[in-house]
Amino acid sequence: MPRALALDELNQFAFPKSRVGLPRLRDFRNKWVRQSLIPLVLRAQARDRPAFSELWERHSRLVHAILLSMVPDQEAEDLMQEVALAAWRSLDNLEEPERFTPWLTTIARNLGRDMLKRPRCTEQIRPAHERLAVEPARADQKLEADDVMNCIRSLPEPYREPLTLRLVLELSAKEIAERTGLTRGSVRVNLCRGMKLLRAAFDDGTTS
Amino acid sequence: MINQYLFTLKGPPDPFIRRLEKVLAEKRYICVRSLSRAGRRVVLAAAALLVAAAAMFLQADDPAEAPAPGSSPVVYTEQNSAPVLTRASRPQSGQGAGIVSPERATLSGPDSDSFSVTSLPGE
Repeated sequence: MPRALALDELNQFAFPKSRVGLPRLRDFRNKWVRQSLIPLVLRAQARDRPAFSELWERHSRLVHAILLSMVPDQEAEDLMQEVALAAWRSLDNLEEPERFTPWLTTIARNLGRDMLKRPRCTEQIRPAHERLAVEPARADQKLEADDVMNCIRSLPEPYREPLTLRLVLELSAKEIAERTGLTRGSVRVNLCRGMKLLRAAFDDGTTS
Repeated sequence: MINQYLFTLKGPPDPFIRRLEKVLAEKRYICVRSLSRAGRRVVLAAAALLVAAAAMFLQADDPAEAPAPGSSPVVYTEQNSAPVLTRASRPQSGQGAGIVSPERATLSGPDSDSFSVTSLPGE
């Protein structure tokens, strides 16, 4: 029926996050974002503030998620200002405009590590096995976002970032690799191992 | 493939991963400037829709666009204060534009595309 088909198409357009039309719309959007990024970066390198502002708006979610994989919420939001400032100051050092996204994620990662070294960051994150030995989470128990994030932060460092980007931003392994500059293979390995640890930590009975 | 959903977000969703995705959705950063820009876009889109609807409404009211009398095959008549629907898709020569009088009411066979109903059940 032509009417039903039209509604389906409209639905896919209006709800790009829905599972039905996800891959095609996402690929199209990613391609468009990549193509429109280089002129913006060039303008920002010429000290065009609106261009940098646009760049920052596009990347703020990604930067926040990367910081979130390292530090608690409040500190992640504070650190975002520092990341934006550091990126603006060192834009001239960026030689390949098409590598802007991985370059920005590297800045965020370094500043996050610096933050963890600072003495004022005093929150102790207990390892997942220690925490869950005290309060085991069952499959039917309601998960809290802070618990999950603390658990991810307690995992080995290579697993934190891919897992956070996968679960918080719902990026695929390919998209994570493009944004972080890691190879697709290492992202897959880290995702797989990290998820295995996460399942074990939450004692999930619904593993596939 | 076991990890297909984990790597590509395609295929049957893993219940544990879906649960974590739903829980962690609240951790997504919301850029206020993007929101205000999106709000402006929504307002503009709504205004454009209103203008388009108004234009269509005005066009429909235009008498030049009104259908010619007798062009519609459906005609409503009244008999004994009861509304009766008569329908004749092919007006014959010498006959009005589709109006069938109660005296001449006929119901043709199923193969015919011309029929009329002039009385209500029980009359």
